[in-house]
Amino acid sequence: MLRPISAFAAGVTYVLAYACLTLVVPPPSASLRPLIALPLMAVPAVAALALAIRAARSSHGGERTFWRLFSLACAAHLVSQASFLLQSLRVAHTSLLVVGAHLGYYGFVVLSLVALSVRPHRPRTSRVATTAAVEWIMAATGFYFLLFYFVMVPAGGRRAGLAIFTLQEALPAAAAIVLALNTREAPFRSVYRALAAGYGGALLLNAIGNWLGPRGGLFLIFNPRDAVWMLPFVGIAAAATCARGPFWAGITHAPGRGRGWLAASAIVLPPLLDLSARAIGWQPELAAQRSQATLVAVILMSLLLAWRLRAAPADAVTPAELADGPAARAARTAHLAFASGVAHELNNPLMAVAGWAEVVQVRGEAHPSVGRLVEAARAAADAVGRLQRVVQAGVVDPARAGADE
Amino acid sequence: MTLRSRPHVMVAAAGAAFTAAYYALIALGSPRSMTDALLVVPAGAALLLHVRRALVTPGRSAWFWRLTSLGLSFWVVGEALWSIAEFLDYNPSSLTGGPRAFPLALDVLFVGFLAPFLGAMALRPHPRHGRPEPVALADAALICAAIGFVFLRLVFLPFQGAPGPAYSRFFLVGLLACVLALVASAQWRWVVDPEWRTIYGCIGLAALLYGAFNSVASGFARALQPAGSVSDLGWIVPFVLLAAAAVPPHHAPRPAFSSSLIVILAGAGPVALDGLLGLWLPATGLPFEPRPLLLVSVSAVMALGCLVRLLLEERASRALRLEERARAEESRRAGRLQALASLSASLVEDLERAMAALLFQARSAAPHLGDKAERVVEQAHRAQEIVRGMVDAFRLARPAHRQAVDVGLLLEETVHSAFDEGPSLHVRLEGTRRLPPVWGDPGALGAAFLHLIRNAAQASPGGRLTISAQNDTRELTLRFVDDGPGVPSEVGPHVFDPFFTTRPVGEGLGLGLTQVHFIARDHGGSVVLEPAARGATFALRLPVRERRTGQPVQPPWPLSVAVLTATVVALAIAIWPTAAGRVRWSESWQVVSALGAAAALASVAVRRVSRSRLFWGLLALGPLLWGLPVLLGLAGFPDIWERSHVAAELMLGAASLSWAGALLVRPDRPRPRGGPLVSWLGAAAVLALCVHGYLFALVLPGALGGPEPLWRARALLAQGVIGAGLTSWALALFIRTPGMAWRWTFGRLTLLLGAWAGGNTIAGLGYLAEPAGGGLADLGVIVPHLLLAAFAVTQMLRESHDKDLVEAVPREVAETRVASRWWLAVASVLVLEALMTSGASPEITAARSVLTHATLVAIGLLLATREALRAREWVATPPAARRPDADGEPPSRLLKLVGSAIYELSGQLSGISALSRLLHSDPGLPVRVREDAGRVQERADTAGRIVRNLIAALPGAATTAQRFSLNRVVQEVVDLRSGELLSAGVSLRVRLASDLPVLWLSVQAIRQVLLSCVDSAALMLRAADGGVIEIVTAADGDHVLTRIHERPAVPVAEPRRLDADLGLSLAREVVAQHGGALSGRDAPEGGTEITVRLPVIAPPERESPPAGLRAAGR
Repeated sequence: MLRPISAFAAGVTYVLAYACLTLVVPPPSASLRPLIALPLMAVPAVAALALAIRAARSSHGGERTFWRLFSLACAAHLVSQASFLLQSLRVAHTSLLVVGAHLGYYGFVVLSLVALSVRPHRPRTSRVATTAAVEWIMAATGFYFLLFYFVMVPAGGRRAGLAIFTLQEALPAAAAIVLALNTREAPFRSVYRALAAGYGGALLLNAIGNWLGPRGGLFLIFNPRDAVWMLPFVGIAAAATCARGPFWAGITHAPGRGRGWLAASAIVLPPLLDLSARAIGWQPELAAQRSQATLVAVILMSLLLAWRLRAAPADAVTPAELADGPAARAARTAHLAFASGVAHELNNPLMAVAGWAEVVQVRGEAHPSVGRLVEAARAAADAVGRLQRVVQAGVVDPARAGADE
Repeated sequence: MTLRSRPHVMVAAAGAAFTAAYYALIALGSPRSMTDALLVVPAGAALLLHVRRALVTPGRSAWFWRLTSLGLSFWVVGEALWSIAEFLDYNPSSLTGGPRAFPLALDVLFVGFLAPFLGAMALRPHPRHGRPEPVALADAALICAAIGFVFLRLVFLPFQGAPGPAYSRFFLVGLLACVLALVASAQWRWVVDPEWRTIYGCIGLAALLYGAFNSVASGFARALQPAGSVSDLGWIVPFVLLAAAAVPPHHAPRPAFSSSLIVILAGAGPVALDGLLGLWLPATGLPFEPRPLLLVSVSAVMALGCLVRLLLEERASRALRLEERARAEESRRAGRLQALASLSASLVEDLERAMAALLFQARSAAPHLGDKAERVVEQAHRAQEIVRGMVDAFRLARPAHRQAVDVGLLLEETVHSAFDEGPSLHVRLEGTRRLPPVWGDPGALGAAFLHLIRNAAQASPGGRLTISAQNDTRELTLRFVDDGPGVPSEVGPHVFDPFFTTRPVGEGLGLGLTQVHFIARDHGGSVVLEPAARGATFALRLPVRERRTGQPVQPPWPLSVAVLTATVVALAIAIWPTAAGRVRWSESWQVVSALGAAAALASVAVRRVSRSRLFWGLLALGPLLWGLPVLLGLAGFPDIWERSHVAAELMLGAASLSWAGALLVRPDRPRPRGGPLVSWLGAAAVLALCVHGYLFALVLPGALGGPEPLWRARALLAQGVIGAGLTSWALALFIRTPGMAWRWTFGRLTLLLGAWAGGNTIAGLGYLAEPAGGGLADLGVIVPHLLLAAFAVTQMLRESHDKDLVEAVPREVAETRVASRWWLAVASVLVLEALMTSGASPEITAARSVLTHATLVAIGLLLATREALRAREWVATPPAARRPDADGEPPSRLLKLVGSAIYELSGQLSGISALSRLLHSDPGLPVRVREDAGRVQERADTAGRIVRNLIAALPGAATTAQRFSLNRVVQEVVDLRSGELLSAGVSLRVRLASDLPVLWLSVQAIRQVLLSCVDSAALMLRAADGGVIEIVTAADGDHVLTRIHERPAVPVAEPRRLDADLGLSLAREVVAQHGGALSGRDAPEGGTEITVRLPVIAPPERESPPAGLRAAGR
């Protein structure tokens, strides 16, 4: 069984070895750089993907969602790497590859953030956590759409892109560090620490590189700064080798009820926004680009909404709600209520009859028919009593109720 | 499973084989005429299958298949002619036309073949199972949006700029295919019957593919694609689908429509389709323009559709969840109560015997029980009643004979009899007419309904109970919804338990709902208490007798005829060779359709009465105002539309106004309080506001200058807005109207007004482009009018359901709310003027100012008159009659003492009467003593009556007013006296009027009055050796009459002196106190007739009962 520290140490060793390789082996030609660097850089991500999938399979509840999201994040990163690789191989439809590379990269950042927001040390069922995660992803998609629509497209991309890039590097690292500092629960503390080390290390390296390193080599691949793209996966892989947390049982809270319309309105807003922008004639020369962003957002949002609907289908009656739990108690209550109701309703008139008849008898002027009336009232009261006992005892056979007397 | 048992698979396989053969022949270089002749095969096969279906299908469905066969035969003949022409070296594919007559005939066949399909769809032969689910409607809207996108992308937008004649032909094919695809696909989603689902699905898909491929094959109306192109599938696949529609049905499970899938399709579908077209069309040499605006718009529409669908689905699933919970609770309760019933069954007989013995002994011992005798017997009787109630509640008695029960009728009868009991309740029946019969015991079902009505009356005295009915193929659901305080959640599970009551002791046993439970279960149904926001809702479900597959749809042929006519008119417009002829043809049809619609609507109006007649009459005025000017223009009179656009706009405005007036009439509502004049004044004020807006925004600027095209565009926009407003108004009425018949009318009217508004806008756009008219855009005027005529004829054929409401709830709008609405309306007139003054020319501003002042004065006058009339109507109610218990001074001390003494005297007299009755009936006593006892009893009874009359006449005594039915009181009087009178040789005959209004008086006092009258008559008849007392009730304007006519068997020499009868004198006083009159006369046919005249007084505004009382309601 791999221990987290060993896994982390192995990962860091690999990253260092890669850095040394880039320093020792002279840089080949510009076209060969990605072909060598990208497969080597993908190794930690593949390892992290495999370990995260294994962790997701062996965990329950919110933790399973947590690891599934990290698996998806690793997969998204690999998609982005593969797109870059194909791009460097000059395969056709380059624009599609650029879109794929960007979507993969942003997908990795968003999924990492959402995974951290699941916070598996809290008691949540898998369904609740998944629904919440999908909603977070939808929110992030909406945020990116707005960012593209209002900032990136009008500003032309490059400058605004750098700021956004730095911000989205910092956010998962900050989230992991905050969780590592605040969490005391046993396995999760290690998980968050490993993640904080991975993401934090990458952030630190990136900051140093950006501030101290040579400006020109910013986007040249196959150099020691490529560690930035590998360290987060070292963290994820180390975290995935930690022990699994407790399994939260007995949480019946239904997920996301009432937020359905909010999630559904996510697919309505982008096209309405674009139509409004066109209607008021805002920057008509950029309208086509913005419409493309809108359509991409609609497709993504509809896929996410479909996922959310599958994760939390509309209200359905759970068998537990229809279970016949308190039926015996209710039946008993009904029997008692019936017995006392019969007694109450019938004994009142019977007592009145018997009482008046007895008063007449006591006065000494009794006719024999009055005596018969008293007898009849007593017989009736007996019959009521029998019914009452039978019902209270809950038996059908009157002989048994009589035997109890 | 063999292929034979799956005919659809066979059809698909045959279609695939044919397609392969077709393309193989083309690849092998077969001549064009041969491959085109081959294309007759799929359509011909489909034709044969459709003809076979038409021959073997009975009823209305046969017409469906006949029409589709006709359509297919058009296409087959057209294709055959096409290949013959090619064989004879003609070139029918030349879009510019070869020999003159030949393309025209082909056009008629190829364009017209869709017309019979549309007519067939309008027949709607599928069985109907109630209203479609809301989710299905949302899905249908989504499907329609998707189909609309496909046709816009592949047919209508690419046709822009195509050459004229070919353009109109292909445009019309696209239009007809689009309408067919929309109608059939929408039906596919909401029709429940699996067979018709398949048929509609196949037709919808066939129309979609035919429309799309036809457009591509025509090279977007520019040049036909060569043989062997992909678009040739358009002549094969649709006909394979049509053939599949006609093969005998096999069991097809209902598809599940997953929300996730729909969201993905709606979100990514349009973009994906657009991407595919972007790859395919340029490859076939056809132009492809990216249309991001269209894509974003379609995405927005689809996203909105998805949102609506999800919300509806969430609501439906919540309702289902609640229903399932209620069912689970019901099933638990059934087990519980059945156990109780089984436990009690063995002992109840014992209990019944004991109670019978007790009652017998109590009666026997009564003479020896002194002053308690009467109460002892009463208590013994009560005990026996309780046991009987238990037997009834548990349905332990032998079940009665079962028969087919008309639940609607039974419900109405029960409601009427409940009114006779006098509960203060407004009951409203919704959709209870034309319900399927239920197999059951009418007596038991009536008892169940009565218990539920009583329950509501006790929960919400003076409140409202709405009984609504819903039915599907399996069961009928009746919902009893009251507006009381509702049932607390902790009490809810126990309301059906026996002896469970929250009412005070002695006011109810708590067995009524138990009985309802057992009656429902006995009939194979259930009753549940449904959770509700306010009030209580009891849902009673009963299985319907015949599990029919569905109800027939209303007469469908008018719509079918209208659709066929519209298609023929459209076809003629599309292919008419000369422009002048086209214009004349179009104008003639505009007149015919408008005047036809007006005539049909007017003939509906003639058959109706009262406000319903006015409603239909105003509806008829709309098309009449529209059609007359065109008719005058056709007849050679100066064309009103051409000469003066202001006059034209005024006519159009008047047409819209007449429809607004029709919607204002609200024939679905009961006559509002305050009489017709008051409501007409209110309606006139609303119409004045509408006229103001119309003149202000449209007519004045048009009359006083401004460039004409701009003004026309603005007028078009205004017409569209007005049309949309009328449509929304009709939609609001459709949503808010409870009665099924009027819902149907308003629903259809919504669709028609929407079609009218849309059509008018299209026609207006057409006139902007081509002022002479005569284009396909003219259909925007013709089609809505034809549909309107079809609607009117259908309405005529339907039964009249105007009286859907049994007892209507009076319109209760708080006066302050009405006043504030009017204040806002008047303020909006001023604000409109303030906002619009800037930017307009001085003449327009001045004219608008005059108009505003005139409107304000007119509205002010109308409202003031209305208020004055309302006030007068209120004063006109006699103050004495307004509240029987409100006036009068407090009784003096002496009067109170006298009152107490009279009460005491009444008690003593009752005692004497009871004692003497016992003595009289004791067989052990000597005969003489018993006779004396009988006389004493008679005297005591007479004295007792006088005393009771006195009590009724005492001020402040027993004068609490309540709602009651006079018929019920008469019935009680007859029940009380008939046995006694019959033994004395006097028979009672009663004739009760069915339409008596409910009274608001002291029921005890009136009962006593009637008893006095009957007793007085009986005294007379006893002396005359018997006779007949006839009691007749009747309504007389604001009064209700009761005539008590005594007819002696032997004529009496000396007439009665009514003024000498003390009882009657007292009764006369009592009646006078209640604002009525008591009079007597010698009847011409002999005997004396006493008439009691009682005023009908509206009950005061309902006061909400105190919280404690409300909680104790159940």
